[in-house]
Amino acid sequence: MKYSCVFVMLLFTPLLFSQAKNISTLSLYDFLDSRIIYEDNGQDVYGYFLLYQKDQVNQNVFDLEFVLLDKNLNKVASDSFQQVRFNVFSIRGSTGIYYAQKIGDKLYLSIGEAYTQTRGIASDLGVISLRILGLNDYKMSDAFLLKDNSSVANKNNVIDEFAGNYFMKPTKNNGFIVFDEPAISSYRRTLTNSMESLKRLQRLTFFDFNMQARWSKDYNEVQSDASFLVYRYHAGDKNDLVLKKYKFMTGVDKNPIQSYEVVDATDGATKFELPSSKDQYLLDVVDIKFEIDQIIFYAALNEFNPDKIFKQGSITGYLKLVFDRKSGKELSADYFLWNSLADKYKIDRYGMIEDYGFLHFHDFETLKNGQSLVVAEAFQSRNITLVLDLFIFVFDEHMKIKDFIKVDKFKNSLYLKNTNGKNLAASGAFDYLYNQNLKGDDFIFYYTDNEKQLKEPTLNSKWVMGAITYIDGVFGFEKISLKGQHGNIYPVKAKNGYVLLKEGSVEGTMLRLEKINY
Amino acid sequence: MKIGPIFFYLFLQFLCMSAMAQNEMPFDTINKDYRQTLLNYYTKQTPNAHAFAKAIKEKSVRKIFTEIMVRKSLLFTQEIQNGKYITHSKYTPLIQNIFQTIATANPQINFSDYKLLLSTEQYPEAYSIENGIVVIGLPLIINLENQYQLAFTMSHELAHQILNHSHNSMLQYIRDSKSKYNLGQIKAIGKQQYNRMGSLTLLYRKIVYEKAEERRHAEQLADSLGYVLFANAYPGYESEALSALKVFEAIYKPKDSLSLRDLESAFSSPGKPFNHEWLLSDMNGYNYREEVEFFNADSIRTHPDSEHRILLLKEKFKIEGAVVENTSYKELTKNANMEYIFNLYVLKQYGDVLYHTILALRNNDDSFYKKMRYNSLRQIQLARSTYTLNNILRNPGPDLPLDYNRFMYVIRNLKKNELENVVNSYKYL
Repeated sequence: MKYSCVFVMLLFTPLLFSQAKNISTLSLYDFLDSRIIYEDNGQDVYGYFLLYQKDQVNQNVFDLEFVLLDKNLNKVASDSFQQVRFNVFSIRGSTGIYYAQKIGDKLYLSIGEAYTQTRGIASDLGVISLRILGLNDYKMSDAFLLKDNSSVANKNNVIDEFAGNYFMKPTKNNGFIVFDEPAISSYRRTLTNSMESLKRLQRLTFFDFNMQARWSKDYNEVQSDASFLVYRYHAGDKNDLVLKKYKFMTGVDKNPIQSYEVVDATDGATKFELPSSKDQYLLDVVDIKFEIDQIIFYAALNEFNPDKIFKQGSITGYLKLVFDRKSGKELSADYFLWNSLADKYKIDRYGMIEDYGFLHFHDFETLKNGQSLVVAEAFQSRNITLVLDLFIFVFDEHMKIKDFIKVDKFKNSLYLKNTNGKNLAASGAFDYLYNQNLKGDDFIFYYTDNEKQLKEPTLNSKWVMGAITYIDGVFGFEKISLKGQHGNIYPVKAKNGYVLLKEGSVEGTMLRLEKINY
Repeated sequence: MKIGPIFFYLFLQFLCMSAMAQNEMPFDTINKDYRQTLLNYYTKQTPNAHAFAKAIKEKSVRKIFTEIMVRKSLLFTQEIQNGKYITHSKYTPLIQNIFQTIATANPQINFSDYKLLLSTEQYPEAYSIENGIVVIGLPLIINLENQYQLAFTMSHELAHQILNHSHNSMLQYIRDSKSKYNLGQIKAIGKQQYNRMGSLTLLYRKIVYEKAEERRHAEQLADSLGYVLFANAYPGYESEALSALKVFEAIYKPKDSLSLRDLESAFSSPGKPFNHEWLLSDMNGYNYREEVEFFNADSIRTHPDSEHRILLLKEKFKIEGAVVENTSYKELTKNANMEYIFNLYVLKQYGDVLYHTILALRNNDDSFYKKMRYNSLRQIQLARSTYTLNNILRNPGPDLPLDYNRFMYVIRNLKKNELENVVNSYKYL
């Protein structure tokens, strides 16, 4: 932008300190990225963290500005800090927020410093630096890197991006899992897709947010074996971590045996393991719930096959498996098979409803009385794929259907052939968005829908956001139009019971917080 | 056809008719003839703005000035068509009377190109805009203590017109944006390899401070000339100029607040008592930092503070005099509260309408307030169902009074059926 234009714009632009609902008035500078910040328990939105580029100080150092908004979009604080942006092969790096976690009165952030730290790598391998923002004084710490098991502050010096650094995978128990593999090696492996190099990994270490090593887990001690293990952090809470374990029989094994190992978050001791199969079924864990005394696994089922290859297109039902947290003892195993719906639909053993389609289970929520709420979305996939209606099932504590509702949606078509629910979900093809737990067992489930007939031109799109409420055990329905005066409205996650609507206008992008009318 | 707007206008008609029978208020917001008269007047005035623009020598400046004037004209005509400018059976003649008195007492000035308009406003304001228009907000009139304070306010705004501040300041802004010096500065900043934004924002800050200083100076001039106009028109009441400034100092401070008891009483319905869970706030847990001063607050004030203004006028004009008690003005504005609430209703600020109505109903059970309570609740209910509540009710914020935040939380925390119960309990039709 020409500076003279900026100048005129500044003269006629409302001043910064008005209560901001116009995103462009939050800062004078170029917007880079933003993140939703969740409360410590992950159950509700705490606020929003926005990042702006203020200035370039020298070749590699930039002045950035952050703006922190509360959950009602009020400005809490803003301030500046400096960030190194690293160039690799003359390619300018991008700056983004790769991680943000609030714990108590601190916000832990990873702000991307190099082009290599794409979101995909960050979500898979972790982050390579960490900053801490105090939520009392709003002082931003230097960026810390992990080198040789200790943290090093990166004080605006040009760094060789990966020299001695390690990727840090954030966990839910206020720390990181770090593997004994330098970041450069991890990164090269993702590019080459080589599994064999994973054999050399022999230790994972848990670091707390002060970058202190707390415990380690050793594996692959006998390097001469052909087989080896690979661990990945899967899920967790403050007390327990769930590691996904892969057993490769050889370096070129395409179908490693998968299982889940639950370890104590304080010392890494293994509590119990969930194997890849149970009874006559293969399992694919789709959700894990951490209750006070229990850990509940929800797993999709395949009929057992000797190759132990899980086929997403051949799901026969779901399993709810409950373990005691302390002892690791299995407390119950309850199965839901598709034929439970036989009294309502003509359905085969793989869940295909005749003249209709399959059901993909999205989210599982456990209620206080042991019941489960499950959101499902139907689809049909042959030469093209159709995304169909939404369902919400209420299961009793033994996974028997107690109640369900079907929410009619307009059919949306996609040019995908013969695909399965997991692939559709991974590609964002479904209309279901997310849910909010209001309090107790009250929930809202959100989805979007394009309320136009299948063969109507794309220009006739009529997007709406649907909200299915489950309040005091009763379902309700709300719809919000996503068509504004000046174009489309985009829904963004907001505090429980609300939706944040982002809308373009002549003044700029406007944010509006609206309560779901339940 | 949408029900909401029809309901809105029918209610206004109904309220006008019933109120006129009882209370000699409120004001007329749907007078199409008046709107047309205004539009005609405004169209006649635009040649003055064209003449001003034509006289600008620099072509590029003239072009931008004209574009801005066209945009502002469009906005203003939209405001006319939306019914922002109103007539009032008492205040319109009062304003015209004062205007006439000022004009007669100051024959050396041609007031024929100026027009005073009464408007609905959310806040107590008066301002001067292009084409000789001075706008007096209804909330300002009803917050002043007597007609002399109103006369001084009007004189101040007329002084801005006489000094052509509106056009001149706009012109100066445009010239500044094109000035060789500023453009040179910007070009030099553009050539910097680093720290460009830092340098640009320093330049921006410097210019904003200069503009603010110019505005403050303009306000002082308007105070001075305004005082002269006022003193000529109302000899013996000169001290009311200072009283007006004192009133401005306190005018934005809330005069009352909703207690918990008020909320409990307002939101209970038969068989359904107030639920204290509705008061639950989610603003705890934040350490709100006072805005980091990009600008120094004093440096960007466009008006000097009232104390300073009073001091300057006293020094310059040696003003003395006693406070004036004016029972006739009090009689005129006896329905001030109702008028203010009705003004907010016309502006579709239904949240504020409900807030002030609940306050009023504490000591007054006039049917007007009861109707306002019901209708504002209905509008809130409608807004919730159409996901437009944000347009009529603010979000809670740390800069808002505690009682107001609490009130907003109650409205938002009510479940659909709970709000329905409350609304139905106040149904009057």
